[in-house]
Amino acid sequence: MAAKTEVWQGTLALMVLKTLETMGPLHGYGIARRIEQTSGQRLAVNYGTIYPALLKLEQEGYVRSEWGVSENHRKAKFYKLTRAGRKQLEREARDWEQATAILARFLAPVAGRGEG
Amino acid sequence: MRRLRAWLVRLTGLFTKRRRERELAEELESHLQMHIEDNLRAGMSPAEARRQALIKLGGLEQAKENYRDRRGLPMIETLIQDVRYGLRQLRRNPGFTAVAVLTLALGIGTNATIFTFVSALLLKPPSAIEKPSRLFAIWNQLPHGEPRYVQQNYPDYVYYREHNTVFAGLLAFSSDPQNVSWSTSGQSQLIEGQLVSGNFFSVLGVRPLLGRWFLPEEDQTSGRDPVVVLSHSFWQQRLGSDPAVVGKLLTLNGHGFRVVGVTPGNFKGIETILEPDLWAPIMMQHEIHPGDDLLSRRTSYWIYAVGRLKPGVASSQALAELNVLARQLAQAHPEGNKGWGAAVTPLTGVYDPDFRRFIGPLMMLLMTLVGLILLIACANAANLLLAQASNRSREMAIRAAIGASRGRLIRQVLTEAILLSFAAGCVGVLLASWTAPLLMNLKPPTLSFIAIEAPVDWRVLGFTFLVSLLTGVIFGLGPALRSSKVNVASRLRDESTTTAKSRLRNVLVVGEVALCMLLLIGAGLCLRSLQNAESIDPGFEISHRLAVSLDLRPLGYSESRGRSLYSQMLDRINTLPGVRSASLASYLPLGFTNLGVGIVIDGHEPRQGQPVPTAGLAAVGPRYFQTMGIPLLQGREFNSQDGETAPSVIVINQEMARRYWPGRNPIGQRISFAGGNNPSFEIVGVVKTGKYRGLREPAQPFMYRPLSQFYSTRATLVVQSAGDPKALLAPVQRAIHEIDSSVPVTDAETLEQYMSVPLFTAHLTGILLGALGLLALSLATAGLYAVVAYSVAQRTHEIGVRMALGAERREVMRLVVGQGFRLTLVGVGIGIVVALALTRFLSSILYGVKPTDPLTFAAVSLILTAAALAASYLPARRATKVDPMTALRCE
Repeated sequence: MAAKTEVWQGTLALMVLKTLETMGPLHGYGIARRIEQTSGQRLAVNYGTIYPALLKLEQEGYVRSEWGVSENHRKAKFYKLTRAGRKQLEREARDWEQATAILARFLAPVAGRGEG
Repeated sequence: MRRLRAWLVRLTGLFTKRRRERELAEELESHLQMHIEDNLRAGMSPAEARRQALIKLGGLEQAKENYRDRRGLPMIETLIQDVRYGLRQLRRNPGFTAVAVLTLALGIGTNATIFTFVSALLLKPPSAIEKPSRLFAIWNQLPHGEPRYVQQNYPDYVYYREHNTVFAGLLAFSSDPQNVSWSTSGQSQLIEGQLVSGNFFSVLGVRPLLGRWFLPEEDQTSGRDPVVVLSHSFWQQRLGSDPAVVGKLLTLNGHGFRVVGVTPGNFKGIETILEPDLWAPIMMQHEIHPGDDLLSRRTSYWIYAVGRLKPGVASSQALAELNVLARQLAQAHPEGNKGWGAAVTPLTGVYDPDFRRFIGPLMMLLMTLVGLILLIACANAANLLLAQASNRSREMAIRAAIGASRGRLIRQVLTEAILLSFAAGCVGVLLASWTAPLLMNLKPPTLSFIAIEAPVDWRVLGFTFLVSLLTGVIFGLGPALRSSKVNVASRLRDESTTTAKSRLRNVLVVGEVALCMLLLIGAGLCLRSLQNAESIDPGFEISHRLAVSLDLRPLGYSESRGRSLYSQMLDRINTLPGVRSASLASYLPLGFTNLGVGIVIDGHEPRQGQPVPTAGLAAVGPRYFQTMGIPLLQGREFNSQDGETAPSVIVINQEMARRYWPGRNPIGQRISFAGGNNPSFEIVGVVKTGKYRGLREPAQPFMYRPLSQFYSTRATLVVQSAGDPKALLAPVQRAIHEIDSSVPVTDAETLEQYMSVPLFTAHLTGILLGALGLLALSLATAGLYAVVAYSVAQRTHEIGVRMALGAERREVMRLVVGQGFRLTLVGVGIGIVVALALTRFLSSILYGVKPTDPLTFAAVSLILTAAALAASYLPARRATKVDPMTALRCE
């Protein structure tokens, strides 16, 4: 197994929101698995950190939770994106893209600049 | 916004803990089960599947703890924990808790008591009034000198009312409630009536309990609408809460007045301390206050004007417009209003500016003194807490060893301190609600018409809350910082590290003694000054004298009838057995009435731009000076020869003679009153200068004219008795009523009782200062005792060793007493230095005593040192009783 990267600060919430957007209502375990899968198993998610992150999003009103039954008939708490959550996702995604674009440009090999 | 929302949700998380805890357990359990199932499917053994799932979760309890941190508000949760723990600690040491709470309660209680009066006299708006913060009193501001506010005359009030655009309504009422004679079933009683504008109640926004208020048209034509509104207490006490009172007639000053309404019980009038019995429209002035036509006169400033600001208008805008109107008035009436401006003041407490100027500094002084007492109490409580903390230093060390941060330890001690001070605050409020009415009872019976309601209201509660919080922080911070500094290793090995702590304790005691010194010096100076004020010679004899006040105005007597009543009265009373002499005066000195006039004396014309000289003036009957015991220095008294048609004569006081005829004989000289071509008066006598307006006034020029030549509708009958003056009270009043049973006697008392009013503030301040000084002294002594006793307890071992080595009792005694004595001396020294720097701020209120009065300083130092010696003597005696063997074994 290749060395796994830890989840960067602040990105977990964005991943959770994105996961909920693509997958629809999902329980905590499902979200954690899905994040790992999407990262191509390159990201080591501490499952225990998912729950405080979900709680924070819920307190901020970006997700809602209710008890339901899982695919294998187990009682589980399902999280669902709210309208405010969808907007927040858009905003965060845009910010993130901008940040990565800037950073990418920064790290790209510099051409035609000498020291003078 | 989002953050606020999250915060609120977390706050509710504090209260739904149990349900949420269950849900969290269920959620994580289902998570684990799902994960285990997946792992099983992946081919793991059941044990391994579970182990892997738990590893991935990062441990079940850890996951829960992370979650909990996010769920509630950890800060508040630890606070609740601290409070719970603190309460348990305080319960465990009931003795310590009781003493600390009691000490602080005394400090907080005195603050709350004094603040109750600050709130009632300076802050509280009149009750039952709609939005009192929008109401402002309007004054005339005189041009030069210190800012002096004067009421309005009626025409000016009307001008302001008609021409302003800033007030939704501008009401008026007559200065103080005045005597009105109410005739009921053949008897007449005096009650207090106030004249008000027709819009009075509607501008205030009060709703009638019964009936209605005045109509606008009832305040338009002089004398047309005899209607009254009754106060709730008059209706209840004098009319037995008659439910059908509206529409009934009351006979007031001989005129029938129809009752139109009754005020609600919580409305006490607009001046918080003077509640009238009834209100009548200003247009009924002639019937209610017979005499001059005040409605048209521009020189009588008897109207208080109060306006309600329109919505959105600031008081500064209102003031700007009023000043424009004041200038217009000054242009139209230069003879009276020239140079006058306008001023507005909020309607809080007793808003009369003269009263505020007097009461404001007094309250400041008292608040400073009780503030000092609270600081002393804080020092005591801090010492107790320190002693307590050193008993608990092992516990602190253990808590630090198992990971409590220093901040957490500080917070724990502070929480306990604040718990103590809140408990003390509650006891303090109880104390205040008990002592404030007690203080009110010190008021002399003559002042019964002044009703100060000083309830413990929300202002007092809020103030006490803040003071308690502050107290907790002040007295808790030192001990908290000190006791949180634990050296874990040495403390766990049970080594004592007391030097630093005892240094802080010593600093506290020294501070306490210094504060007490400061307070006692302040109180001592004030008491000395009061003593001086009380021994001031008022200029007349007080013992064996009687004063009976009469008011003929409500009777509508003609002048000639009044004159004959006066002379009949004097004739009859002079022949009563036990009466040495009787006379009359238009008013007595040092009362509520004063009269001053401008004077014109040949050779003393004022220079251009200088004010006209003035002198006090009273009208007195024959033999007044003899009856009052005022020494006649030159010339003669008035006698029956000085009749209405006889030459106009006048008697002056020595101060006036000194000012205008220095080194010459004033007898035979002439004086006239300023303003037009007034007749002149011949000086026939000079009497000793007395006190007229206040006991502390410098010598004032004063003049007397015969009552027969200067008629007054109000008069005070003075009687000199041979024996006990009280025994004459009833016969004198009977004699008056034998002449005319309807003459209203407003007051009948001995001059000793009469003098309790001018001496009232002095007495009250004296009692307050004495009580506060005593309290401070006991607190400081108790604090010193506690520290010395504690250090004796700590040094039992050392003392035992000393005694085992042959130290004598005397030496041990000197050791212990010496410690307390040294601390006291340092404190006294600091106190003296600080007092020398600060007492000059008292000089404006001190009378006949220097702010650095050596006698006061010496006496206070001695008292404090003696108290300190006594406080250290008790523990010292205990120290000498230490049995060396027990002491050596006690480690």
